[in-house]
Amino acid sequence: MISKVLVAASTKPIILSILVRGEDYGYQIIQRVKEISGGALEWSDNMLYPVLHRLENDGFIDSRWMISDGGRLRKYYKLTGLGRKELEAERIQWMDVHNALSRLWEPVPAGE
Amino acid sequence: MFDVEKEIRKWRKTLQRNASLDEGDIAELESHFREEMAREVASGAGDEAAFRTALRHSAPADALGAEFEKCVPRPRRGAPFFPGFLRLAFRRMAKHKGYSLINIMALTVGIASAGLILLYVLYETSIDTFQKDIDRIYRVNLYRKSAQGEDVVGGNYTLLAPTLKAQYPQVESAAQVFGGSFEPEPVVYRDKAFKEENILTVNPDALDIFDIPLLRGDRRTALDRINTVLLSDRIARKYFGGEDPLGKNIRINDKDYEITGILGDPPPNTRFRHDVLISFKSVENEEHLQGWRPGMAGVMTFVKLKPGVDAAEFERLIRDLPEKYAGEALKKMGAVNLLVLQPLKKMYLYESTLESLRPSQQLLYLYIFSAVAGLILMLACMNFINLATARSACRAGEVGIRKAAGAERHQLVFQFIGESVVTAFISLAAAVFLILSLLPVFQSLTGIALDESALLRFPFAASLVGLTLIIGIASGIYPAFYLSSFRPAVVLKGRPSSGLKGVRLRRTLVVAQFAISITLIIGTLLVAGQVDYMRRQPLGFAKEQRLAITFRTWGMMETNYESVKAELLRHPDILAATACSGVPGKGVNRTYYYPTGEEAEKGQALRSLRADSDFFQVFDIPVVAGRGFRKDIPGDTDRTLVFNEQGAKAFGWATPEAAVGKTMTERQTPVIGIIKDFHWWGLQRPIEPMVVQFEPSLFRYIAMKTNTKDLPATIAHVKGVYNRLFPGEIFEYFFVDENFDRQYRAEIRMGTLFRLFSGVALFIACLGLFGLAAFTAEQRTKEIGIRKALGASIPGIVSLLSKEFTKWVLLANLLAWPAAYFIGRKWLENFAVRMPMPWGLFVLAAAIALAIAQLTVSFQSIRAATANPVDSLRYE
Repeated sequence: MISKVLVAASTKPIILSILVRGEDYGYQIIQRVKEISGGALEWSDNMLYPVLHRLENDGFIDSRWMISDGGRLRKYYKLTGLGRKELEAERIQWMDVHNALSRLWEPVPAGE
Repeated sequence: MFDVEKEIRKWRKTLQRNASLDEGDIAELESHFREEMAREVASGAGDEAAFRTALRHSAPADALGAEFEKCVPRPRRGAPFFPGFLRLAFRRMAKHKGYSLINIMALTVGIASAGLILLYVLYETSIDTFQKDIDRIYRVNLYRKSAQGEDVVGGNYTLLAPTLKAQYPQVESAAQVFGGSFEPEPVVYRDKAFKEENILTVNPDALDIFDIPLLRGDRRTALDRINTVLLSDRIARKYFGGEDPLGKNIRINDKDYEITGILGDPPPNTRFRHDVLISFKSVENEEHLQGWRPGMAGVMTFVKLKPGVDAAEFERLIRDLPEKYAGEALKKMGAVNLLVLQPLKKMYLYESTLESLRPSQQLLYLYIFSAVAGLILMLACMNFINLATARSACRAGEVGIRKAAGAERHQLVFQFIGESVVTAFISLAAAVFLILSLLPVFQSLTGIALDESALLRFPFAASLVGLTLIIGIASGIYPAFYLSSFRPAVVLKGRPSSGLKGVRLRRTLVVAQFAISITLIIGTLLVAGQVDYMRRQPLGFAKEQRLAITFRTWGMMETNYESVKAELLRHPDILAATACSGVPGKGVNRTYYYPTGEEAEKGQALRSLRADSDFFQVFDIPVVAGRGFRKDIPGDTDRTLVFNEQGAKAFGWATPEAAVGKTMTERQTPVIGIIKDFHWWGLQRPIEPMVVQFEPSLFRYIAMKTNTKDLPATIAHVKGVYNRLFPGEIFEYFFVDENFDRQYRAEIRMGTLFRLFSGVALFIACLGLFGLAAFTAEQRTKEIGIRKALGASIPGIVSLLSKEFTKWVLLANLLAWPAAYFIGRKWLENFAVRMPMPWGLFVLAAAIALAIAQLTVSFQSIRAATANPVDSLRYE
């Protein structure tokens, strides 16, 4: 189980990273996160939608309503130019953390 | 049976109750909810199970709201007591400030105009309708018929009131009201001397009938004695200041009266301004008020019937009273007199006829202005509808989402109507401020007395609020149904076509708006034109540069008028002077004449002027046959008659020459001359038969033909002469033309109001046009950009955008002209002298409307046309 704080912190980079691959709608985003994390990340509606709206407000993503061929109404989100830059900045930060932790967790050579 | 849609609706409602979630949020959450359910159903679950699972997976409304609140800054919410749709309405209005402003401005001006007109109409209809027991009060009018024609007058036999009260148990009280003189009369107390206009002579019952409060004194006895008077509080203060007026004597028109009471000040909306009430006993013995004498009848008689008395029945009973008391005299005159009742509450706006009441000119004006108010409001509503449908494309997306998200059509209808009602009430608030700030101007324009408290009085406040609600609903209802009819599948898949239907409607509305505006412009020009026409019309006498001075009473210059004139004529700028009993535009009595040797029935009551030998010269009235009066022929005084042409015609003399030398009545008074017809009164009235007599005992004015080189000096000279010859009198002068033109006051006032309100109408129509033009320009930004990039000129683009509107305004003219022609002709029928239908005005009105429309549209088009093409191409 991933801690609440960590889940909250990672929401933004994960959403941006999913949307960089193409337009997507809320329910689908949750499904993808679950899939990619192998079930470790299970987002709820009240986590995702407020964040989507904030990202839209900040200008990182854009939305439009569309009707699927099945007649279902969906709100699609896509990354904006600003969003790409933001994702890049996020990626660098997360990679820094990731690199640091990776190095720290490298197996200690025996005998030292 | 589990109804899944119903359950979803219930769930949605819980979200809607949360103020932190807006429509968009809820639609998205619902979409998510349905995806969740769809997956469950796909994996084999039933509807109910799927719903439960989705419900379990979704957060409760509170948690959702809190989360949204944390992440997304929300616009400040309205006060908590506003229902949801109002909150939405406010939010939307804030988002589209430009359009909201146009709508609010148009509605504000519209409501304010309608409010002012409503105040005016309510005031006019309130005149003399506030008396207690108003439904039982009637004026007894006199219907008169003779060889000369028939009419109904308010003045009646002096003894009618006491007779009615004494002999008819149906009568509770009967008032005698005697107006007296045409001129204000001098009132003097010690060193304070003024002329007062509102002096009435009444019997004690008048206090009861007109519901006049007595602040001091005894109601029952105050008017019982001869030479007693009641003063209004206002007048008492004016003359007595802090002194106690009761029991003191005040001098009114050279007679002393004892003050026996103080009256409450008369309200503004009465025509019986009881500032000074003299006891009827004081005049009872005057010769002309004696008995049942036809021709002398001039005392108004009011009765208050006992409760339950049928007025029509009572009228039948008293109808023939003149026959009973004055039958002999009437027979001799060949006249018929009948009594007719006129309800007090219908005295101001109706005229009495023998059979029934006839709407007066004043009532016609009230109808016209009410119609104008209605039209102005319609214009403002049309604006709203127009802009709302024009912008429907912008709102189609919202409608689509909400409908797809399950919003019922009636919810959308409520929301849209809610928005327009909110707009209307915001406008109402602004309109109230506008009315308050315009009230003083409006009062001086209409001549009615109103204060701020009038706005709070029930009928006005309630009607205005009701009206606003109706406006809100009326202007919201079409857009509401139009917008809510969009199908989500169509609008969400692409930009909806703005819809031919919408375009056609907008075109119709703009044409209608301009048709109304043009009709009002033509009305304005017509009224102004007719007033101008009347003023310029030859009246048959010269009124310009004629100065007149008023004498307090008859006989003041009976013996010395020639020397007064001689003194006045010493000034080089006074070219001629005449003493007379009246000047054109003032009141003039009638006198009865019949040719000598004929039966008295062959007689006529003619307008009867008394004037000296110089009257015709002073007013440039030509003598067409015989001669005028000569002061060197002593017999001319009081012994000769001059008729106008109508007068000669009235007795059947074929030509003016034929009339000269005839004699009248048993006294054999000779007709020495005939003067050309001239208009004694304004052109609303036809020229009446008139007789002129040289009778100095009835002179009350001196009129002078002056040279206006140095008016102040001339007036100073006249005043000097007057004060020297009539010490202690109050000097009063007027110009004949100014006084005469006062008869056109109603028309001039109507003209001013018309100008004001047609201006308002045009303003509202232009606001709408402005909004539409802005919208069109915005929609065609790209087209304009491409055209410019391809080298189109700015004027070319401006005309491209203006051409469409020009077409509409021209079409509006086609509708407006027949309407204006029809109404205008009807109005002009009220005038004895009317201008020919001025077709030029119609073209002028069209030009004005077109010019203003062009100006409005071109402001937008020029802005659009001068924008950098690159900017507009980058747009979208």
